[in-house]
Amino acid sequence: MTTALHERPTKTIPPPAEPPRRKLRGTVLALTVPGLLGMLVSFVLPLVYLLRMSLKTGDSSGMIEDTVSFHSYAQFLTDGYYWKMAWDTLLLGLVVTFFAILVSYPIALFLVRTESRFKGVLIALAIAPLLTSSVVRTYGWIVLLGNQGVVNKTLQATGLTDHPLALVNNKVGVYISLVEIMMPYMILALLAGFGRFSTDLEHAAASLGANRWKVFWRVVWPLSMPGVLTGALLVFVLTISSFITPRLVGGGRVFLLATEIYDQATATLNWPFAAAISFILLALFGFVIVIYQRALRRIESQ
Amino acid sequence: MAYLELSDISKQYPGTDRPSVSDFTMQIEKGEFISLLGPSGCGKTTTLRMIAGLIEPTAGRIDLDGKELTHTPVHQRGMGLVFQNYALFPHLDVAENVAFGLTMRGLSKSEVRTKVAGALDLVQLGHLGERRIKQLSGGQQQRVALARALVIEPKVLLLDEPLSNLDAKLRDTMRDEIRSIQQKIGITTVFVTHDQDEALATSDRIVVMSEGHIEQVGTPEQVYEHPANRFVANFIGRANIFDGKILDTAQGVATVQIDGLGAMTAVDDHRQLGQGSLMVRPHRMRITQCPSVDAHGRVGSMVYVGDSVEYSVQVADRRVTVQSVSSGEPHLPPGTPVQLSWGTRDAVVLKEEATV
Amino acid sequence: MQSRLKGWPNRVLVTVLYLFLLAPILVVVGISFDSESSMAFPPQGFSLQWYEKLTQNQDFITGFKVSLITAGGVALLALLIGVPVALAIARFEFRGREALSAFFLSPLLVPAIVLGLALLLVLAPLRITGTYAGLIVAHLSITIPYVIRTASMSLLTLNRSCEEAARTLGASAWVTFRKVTLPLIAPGVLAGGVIAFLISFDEAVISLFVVGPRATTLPVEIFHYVETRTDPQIAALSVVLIAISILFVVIIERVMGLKRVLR
Repeated sequence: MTTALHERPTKTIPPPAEPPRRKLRGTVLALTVPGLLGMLVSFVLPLVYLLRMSLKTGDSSGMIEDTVSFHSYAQFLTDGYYWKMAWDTLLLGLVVTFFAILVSYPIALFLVRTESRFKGVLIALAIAPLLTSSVVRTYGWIVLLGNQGVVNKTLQATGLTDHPLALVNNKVGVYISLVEIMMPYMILALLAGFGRFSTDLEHAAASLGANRWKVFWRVVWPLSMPGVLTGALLVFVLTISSFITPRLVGGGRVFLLATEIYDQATATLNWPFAAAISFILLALFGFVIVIYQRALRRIESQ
Repeated sequence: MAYLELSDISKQYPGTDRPSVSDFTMQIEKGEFISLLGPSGCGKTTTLRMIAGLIEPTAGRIDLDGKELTHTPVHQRGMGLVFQNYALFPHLDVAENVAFGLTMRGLSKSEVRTKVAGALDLVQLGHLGERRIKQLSGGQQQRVALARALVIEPKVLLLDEPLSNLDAKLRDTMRDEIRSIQQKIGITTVFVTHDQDEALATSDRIVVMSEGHIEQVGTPEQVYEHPANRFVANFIGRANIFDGKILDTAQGVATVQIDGLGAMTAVDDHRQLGQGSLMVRPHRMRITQCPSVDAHGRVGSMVYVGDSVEYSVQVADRRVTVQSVSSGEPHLPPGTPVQLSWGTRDAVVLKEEATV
Repeated sequence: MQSRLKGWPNRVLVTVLYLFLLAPILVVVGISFDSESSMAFPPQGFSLQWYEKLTQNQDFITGFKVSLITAGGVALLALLIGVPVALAIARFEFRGREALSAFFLSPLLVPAIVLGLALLLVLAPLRITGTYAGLIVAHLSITIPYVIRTASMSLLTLNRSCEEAARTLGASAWVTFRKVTLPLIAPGVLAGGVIAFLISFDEAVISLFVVGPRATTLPVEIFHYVETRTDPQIAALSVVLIAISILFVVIIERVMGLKRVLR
């Protein structure tokens, strides 16, 4: 036996906290470094470059001056045309969000309530469009809303109009198709928000003497509020940054922040200006997210 | 030196103001069956996990068979641990689960096969080797977990509330089976439980714990018949505790003056005069009807539970529980004046807590 | 009670809304079999001519190949670097863990059009626009969050004591990860990989900026095609893509179903 075994243990044995902590830090570092490198290359550096680019000065001839100035931001903020564009983008977001809630809510409520055997299939159908490229669905809307499309054919056949209505290559078409394209996101958010909901609550309220409207406004709607808010945020953010649908359905005649970024970057080759608009769009994003968090906190504190 | 020695081990989790286990010291002999018994949060599972090596103690040391293993990593300790939720690998079948530890030890395929078969036979599951875990009942999963822990021939078998997920009937069967397997192979065992009956029925010695420290260590009989203090008396079995004054103590017997009952005698291991308390188990009391002038109190309520009758007797301002064997005699209705009595050996003087 | 809550007006409403939701897909499927090129609906007659034309369209075939390889590479890389991060976040207590987790989810808060332009600024000087390397880097940050999310979900729902049991039975940390943790989180990891694949395969906006003559993805080809022409060939292509999507959903369902069998 060694002498060590005869030593009585004392409480002053140094706590073994140090080596494991260093080991832990090493492990965490080893696990996250590849991810951090990936994010650096594919996310952080690009945004840093973009920020730097927004401070340079460019013009419509494609020349880029190596400055550090807010020229591009000023160019945006002093031109009423761009204010109108920002307002149009904001309005698009608000209107599409409102209508997306309007058309998604009944489906979500139905899916929560239904006891149908096909519930799983119906839920899958409601979110299946997410798996279809938005380019494809946008193409579908161009076909639907075109002069020869179902909508115009039906309107003419029923005698409601003589001439085909202009539904593509303008804002109306963009609004309609974006509402549909955002529906699955809204339905998903609503379904998640309805987690706490049970038809028993409706029955309980009804048994206490509430009529259908009262049951809805006093019980169902308040319970679904968190889902509505999440869905609204998601849809709003996706709408004001959407590019494919406004571009294709709008036929190049609908001007929004996202389409302007693309045009400035690829057609005009004014990269500094495109970068500045990008950061203005990001600022709009941040603003909306702050509002959302405020609203959420108010609902949760109730 | 004992086989397994825990010396002053403590564990305090970061961000807590009180240690979960403090200065736990205990010697366990080879082949002993030890239970760590206490309410949830008393530190019994933390202690077990420190022995297993899943938690590193903040202070103290652990020795096994003359070698220190305080800082030995889990996978080199060779302890057999059975988890409360069994922790069987869902992606492996029964035999593969049991074989896991053997494979880690690099045994040959044929050795593994023989040992797995032996272990499954030991827990009477020899025929279920190919089953998937999901297809087993709770009791069968329990047996697989036991076989998996035993097959590696661990130095110590650690059981973390292994019976708490089973229904009542099965629990008793498994309890007896664990004990008989332990006896058969003579393995040193540490068993964590919050159930006093399990601890009493299986253990060589019981360690009663509360709030991170040891309240009492003793054989089942010692902790039941001679609880060291109020906590142990109340936690193991039911107890009537009377505060009073110790008038006299000699040759292990004390005379205690109790308000409303008079002077009573009791077994006393502490030999201290002054303020003291005395404990009597409900079934060790006798209750007799008597004229109201001599009565200690009156029957408050009565519950008939088949093989016995439980009386709640109002004595002065406290209630005393008395359990008497039902004998076919008529029961004493509420309001009956009664006298309570017990033999000297039925009552124990409790050690006073240092600070209350 | 039941009937009062779900009257027929309700059903009609829900049916109409479902029709609206599925209308573009239904129309696309319909005209893909049209015998005319007028893009009118309902179709004039049945034919498979647009599918035949599809098989001769080299742009689409090449784009499909590029998208397939890109998505495969993205999914693999996202898994390789995302799963360890999920492991660190779900398994270790360390300072800045919350911040790290938020950082890895933050690409989802940046509009694709902004990220696309930003990536162009970095990739163009490196001359890797229009290459697989460039496309994979471009799609990485938007797929990593999904891999991390699904993998850490699996890790958090995993029974920790299984890992502890393996340790007490003599397995080292690495062996425990390989023999116990990994098999148990495999369904979640696989689902994350499939999601990353689908997102990369469908990505159009970021790709618009970083594709080039050397390599252009299918969604970008479709975008440019629709921008300039419209004929049912795109519809036929869409139907093929929808079929592939459905195939993937079935695979995920099988994998998840398998998970339930194992539990």
